[in-house]
Amino acid sequence: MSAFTLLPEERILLQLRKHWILLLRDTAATIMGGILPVLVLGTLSITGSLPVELLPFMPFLQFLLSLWVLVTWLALAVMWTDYYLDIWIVTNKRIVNIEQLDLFNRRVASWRLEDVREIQVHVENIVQTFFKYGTVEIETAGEADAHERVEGIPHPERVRDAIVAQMHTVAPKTPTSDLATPINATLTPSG
Amino acid sequence: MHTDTLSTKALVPHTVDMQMEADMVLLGAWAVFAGACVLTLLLGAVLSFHWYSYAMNRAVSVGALILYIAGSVLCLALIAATILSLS
Repeated sequence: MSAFTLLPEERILLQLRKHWILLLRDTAATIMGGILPVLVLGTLSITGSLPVELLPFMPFLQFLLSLWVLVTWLALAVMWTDYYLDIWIVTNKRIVNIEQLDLFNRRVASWRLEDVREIQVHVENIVQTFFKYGTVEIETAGEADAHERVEGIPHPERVRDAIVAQMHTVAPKTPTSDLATPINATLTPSG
Repeated sequence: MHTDTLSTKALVPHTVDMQMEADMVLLGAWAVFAGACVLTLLLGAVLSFHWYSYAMNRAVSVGALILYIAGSVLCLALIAATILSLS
């Protein structure tokens, strides 16, 4: 995977995709949109309730519908690709969000665990509660404070707990701790 | 008899026009089919590039490609069949 390479001594703790219900929802909606005109025309022609004026154009309508089926198929392929390539990875050193925004727009963002300042979890409605997915918001400290919101994460509380647990194992690099040793070393001989 | 001869003469140009129109529609339909083939191929190339470059599991990439080809061939065959039924 060329977009994401592990650092030395880095290992993957969690690898997540959006909840499957989101893919199912989008897929079902697309399939319905693709099949509905076929069903309507089929039903009308079988029951004989198709307007007489439309009968001469029936082969042409069938041609248009077959094109529509192809468009639906291509849309499904793009949708699945978008779902499959959106990944959220938590390693022992950082959090990586790989997002396929569209066919030629891919975004890879990563935050070091020691920079994470706050993690919020939102489970906002009955569907999210029932299917156990939600939104994870991460606020990081740094030169430019970043705020990242990732939606559709399955079991967001567990993800937050795993990140927090890992954050405790990562020693924070504060300016005080970096400076402490040299200052003491300088002061001890003179004192 | 006289009337019949007259009506046949009147119908001939109309029949030729209708035949030309049908041929044009058929030609247009095949052109659309060719466009659909090109679009499907191009999208397939782009998606395959993504699957092979970014997917973490190679088996999924192969499966996705096979499924895409199968579905696309089916859809294009459906379009071709409707064009053939037009003629």
